[in-house]
Amino acid sequence: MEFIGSLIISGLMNGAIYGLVALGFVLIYKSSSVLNFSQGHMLLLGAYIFWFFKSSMGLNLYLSLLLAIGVGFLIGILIERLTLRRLIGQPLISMITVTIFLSLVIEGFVSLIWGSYPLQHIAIFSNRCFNIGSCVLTTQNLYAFGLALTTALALILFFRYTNLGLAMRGVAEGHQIMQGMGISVKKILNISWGIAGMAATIGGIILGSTLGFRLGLSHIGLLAIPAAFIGGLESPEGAILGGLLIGLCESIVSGYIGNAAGVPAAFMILIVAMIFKPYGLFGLVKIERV
Amino acid sequence: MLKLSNVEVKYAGVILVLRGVSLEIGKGTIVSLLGSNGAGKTTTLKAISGLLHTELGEVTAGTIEYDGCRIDKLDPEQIAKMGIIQVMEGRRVLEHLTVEENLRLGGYIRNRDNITKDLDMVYDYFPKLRSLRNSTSGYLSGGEQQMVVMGRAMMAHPRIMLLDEPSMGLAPLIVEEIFELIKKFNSEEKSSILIVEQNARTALGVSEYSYVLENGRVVLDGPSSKLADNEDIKEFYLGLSKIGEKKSYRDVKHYKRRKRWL
Amino acid sequence: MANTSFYPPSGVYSDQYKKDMRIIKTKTQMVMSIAALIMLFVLPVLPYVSGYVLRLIIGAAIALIICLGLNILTGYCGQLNIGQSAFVMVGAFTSALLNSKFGLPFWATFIPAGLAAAAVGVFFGIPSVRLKGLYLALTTLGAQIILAWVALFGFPITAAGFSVDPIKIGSIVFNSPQKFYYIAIPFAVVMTFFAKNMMRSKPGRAFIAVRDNDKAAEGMGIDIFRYKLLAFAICTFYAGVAGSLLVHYMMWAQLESFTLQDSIWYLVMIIVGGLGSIEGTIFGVIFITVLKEIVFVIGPIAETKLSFLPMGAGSGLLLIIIGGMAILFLTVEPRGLAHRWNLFKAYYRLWPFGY
Repeated sequence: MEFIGSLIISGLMNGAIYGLVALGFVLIYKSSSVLNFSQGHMLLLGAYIFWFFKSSMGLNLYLSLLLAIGVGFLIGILIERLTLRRLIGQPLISMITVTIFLSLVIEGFVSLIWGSYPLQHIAIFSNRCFNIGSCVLTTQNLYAFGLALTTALALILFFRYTNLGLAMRGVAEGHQIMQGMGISVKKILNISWGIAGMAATIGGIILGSTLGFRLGLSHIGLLAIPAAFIGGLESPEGAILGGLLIGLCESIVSGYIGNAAGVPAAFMILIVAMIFKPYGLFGLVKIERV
Repeated sequence: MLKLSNVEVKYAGVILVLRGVSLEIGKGTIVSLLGSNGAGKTTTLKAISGLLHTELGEVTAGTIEYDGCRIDKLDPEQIAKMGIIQVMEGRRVLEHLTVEENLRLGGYIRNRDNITKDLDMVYDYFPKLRSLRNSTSGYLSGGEQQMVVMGRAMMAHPRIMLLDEPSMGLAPLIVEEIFELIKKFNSEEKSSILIVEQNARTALGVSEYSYVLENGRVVLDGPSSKLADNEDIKEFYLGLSKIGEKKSYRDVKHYKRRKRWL
Repeated sequence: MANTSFYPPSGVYSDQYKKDMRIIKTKTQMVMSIAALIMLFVLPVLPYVSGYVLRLIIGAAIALIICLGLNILTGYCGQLNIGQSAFVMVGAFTSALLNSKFGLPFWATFIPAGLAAAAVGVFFGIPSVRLKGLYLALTTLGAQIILAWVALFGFPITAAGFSVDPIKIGSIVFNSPQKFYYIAIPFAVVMTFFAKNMMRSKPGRAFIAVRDNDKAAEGMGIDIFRYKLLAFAICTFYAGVAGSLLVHYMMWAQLESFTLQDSIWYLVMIIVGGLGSIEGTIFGVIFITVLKEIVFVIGPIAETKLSFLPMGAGSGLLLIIIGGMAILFLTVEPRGLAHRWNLFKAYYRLWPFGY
């Protein structure tokens, strides 16, 4: 009983992080119809930049956080400007390949400046632990969970009720249509990638302080992909839910079968789930009229 | 107000579509652009509204002037802000959004704060949309979608509205309704309208001046009433005879004679 | 967007469907093709062509077979496949295990390898009945992950890596690049020809119909599910055969040759080359192979020269450069090299009447 309890809790905590990364995917997909394979690497870059402000420059914690998030926003915009701007209206597959190459470039950049060995650790959160029964919760887990949920909620409300959110949903439908209506697709894409960059940075900072600042951080992106898909690619709520689900599944399966079987199991569950709900739990069904 | 002079448009640098098109749209008029498939009508509209870039097209010669300033090299967003709004062919609604959300986006550049007034205006023109305001627009019928895209354009209070084949794929009664509305919009809001149409009869009926485009050139232009009486137009675009009359194929000579403007 | 690939040279017309469908339409094309084949045959004995170059070419030939299959599934049939290297692995391990456990030679195992990979491929293609586009790509990603896990934890022998006999014909043992060249190239040529032929016949047309609008295709009487599965089968069959070739070339079968990174590289090859085009596959494979080689060669050199930068910087710099170049390339010509090539051909065939 206690075993499965601790599995559930650690699964949920991990899931919250997957959900946060998945949120970034969803955001970019919702506005530019691009699946951003470099989301994991944006997370990495954001984390390293925070490390730079805090460790190399020795700034105060809160100042570093603020600066890093700001820079994350700018990085998102920069990436969008340099690459995706030219690809408006081109086939989906080339957009995806560009993001894949982008992840290589970011990894290269990070190795170039900071080398490929793990960096010195920074602890953001105090190491207090709570006990629920015999399960252990750390403050880091709680922060991650809380942050992921609040960000998700904020984004959900943003998309549904603001004009800008509406414009972003419109841009996801058709760039040409929006251009014809006089809405600056460029500006909207800028903003959405900027927000995604910010979200990735926040996620990276949290992960970096728990797992350490190293190149492997970008691999979290891998499990966030099924999370985003299970939830449905257009749905921020779905991203969080998907993340939690995947986290749970991975944790439980790995716990009982061992050998990190959780990862392929997560994918198997994803495949089966999608056969019943092809567009994810909350995704938008493609409206087809022949 | 809007003047195209000898506009030449190429796609991908190798495909020449418009070979020197000149046309003029005055204030508050309805002008129609006729032509069969592949003549370059949609390309003309896209050249005006600046949407050629995503299809690798560009205006390689000639000028497009709006109130005296050149717009052929501007971004589509700027052109739309200047008051030229295009309703693209194919009823391209924003599928997953509701009707009202589509309309709201139409008014995005104009008047974000006082949008209810504009929404009411559009619902007055298209009463059917009022009852459909919260439906997902992708699932509406063709006629309703056409109303949505036109309403969306109206929300932006265009000074020139470019309509690309508004009657495509619609039932004749709906087509009549839509063209009535076009006339009404033109007279009430004083916007100019450039209609690209294959349905020559209806287009000639609603417009004041018409151009006929073939193979990327304007081959005939004039007041619509005169064009409707033109022999060539009658044979090649309006069908062989008036409704009600019968014409024997023995009298048909269009496979034997060329168009007089060639 | 107009299709500029159909301008035959001036003066060449087809007056029968049969003639129109021919791959080689003019005498010049026939001569060039034969010359190219002779060149290929004779290459290893030319001066300056070292073992290093031959190794590159063999690698490219095997990648070509893999990418041909991938282009058939993704380019022609429109089903995105991010897990191709896993299917290569299935074929590779099937062939290697048959060789290692039962002593069967390559010639008896490469077809079963292909078939095994095809069977697995069809299995993972079943979700395509309900899933589209990006969502289907996910199942292939799942295939990559699941199959890799099975190979790692399911069979102890595959996890460790084991040796494989080289290919033999009679008394000739193909255990060097110079010799293996004459296995790899014929296989590549034959399979390219099959691919091109398939794509200009009924299944090929059906695939394109499914890609462009599957509901309409279904309305025309094309059984889309069956053709999607057929595309998966062909793609993974090619992968399986290539895998079998690979292990018999390296004479060693190990997991690390078949990673997600490789799957992505294959996708990149066909995208850069041009989706839905056999020539494009060839262009893409050559381009990316050369590019990767430049990284591998210059990376370590750069690292020693630039020793003032932290460890790993050299390869990092190289990644930035190729990544950047590839991005530049894709922003300038998103339709791949094949499209550029077609535009070029159209341009010079129509010159001076460019349009």
